[in-house]
Amino acid sequence: MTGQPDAAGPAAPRDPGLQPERTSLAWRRTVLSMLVADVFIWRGWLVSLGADSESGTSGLSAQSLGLGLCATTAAGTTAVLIICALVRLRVLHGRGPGVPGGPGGPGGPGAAVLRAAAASVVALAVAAAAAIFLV
Amino acid sequence: MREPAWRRTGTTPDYRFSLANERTFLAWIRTSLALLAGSVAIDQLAPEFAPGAIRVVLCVVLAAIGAVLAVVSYRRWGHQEQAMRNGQELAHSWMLLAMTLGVSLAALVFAVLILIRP
Repeated sequence: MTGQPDAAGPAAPRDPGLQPERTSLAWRRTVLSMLVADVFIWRGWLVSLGADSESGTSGLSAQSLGLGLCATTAAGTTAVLIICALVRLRVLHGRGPGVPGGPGGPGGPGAAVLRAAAASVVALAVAAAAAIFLV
Repeated sequence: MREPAWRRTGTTPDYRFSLANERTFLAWIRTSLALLAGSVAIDQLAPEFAPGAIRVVLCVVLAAIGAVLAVVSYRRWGHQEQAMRNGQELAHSWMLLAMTLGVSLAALVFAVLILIRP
């Protein structure tokens, strides 16, 4: 951590398009979007747990167990997406290796990072579909 | 996970184009996430807007479109980068038309269901 503003270092020309900043903000927005989807899945689980405790029977209903699995999956997919975002933010902010880009800028994304991000969204879709069936 | 073979072909594009392609991918991913959030939200927050089975089917269809969109976004990102590496024209995107039709159809179906609700 040398505190330099971007990968190019102080000698590089200023990027008037602020490309790394825009890309870093896009990753943050994407993580926030996934959290919105998570909140609804977690809400479904909490509502089901509430219904269990009101009905007074001991133990969890099958619905609560299923929704708990959906909620856990959603948390896992979000963790994966956050790791992808952190990997990219490191490169965009000039720390850590990336696929080398053109001169004067940070590297573009590795295919593995984007593949993992897309896969995490597919896994969240499976959890969402299961939650829709169970609610 | 290894880098795909096409990443060693052609010339590495200018970083601005690489990052723009990455942001386009992320924008499609957010569209996909919006469909997922919407499908679960409709199912939970508007339970009486349609009979149970119809509601579940519609919401699962929305979630499935979200899943397909996430996969297509990744493939599209790869195709765009391959085109940039080899100096080819960027492919025409049928995703725009498909999403326009899909979202319009979904809006129409939901509008009709809200109108005919008893």
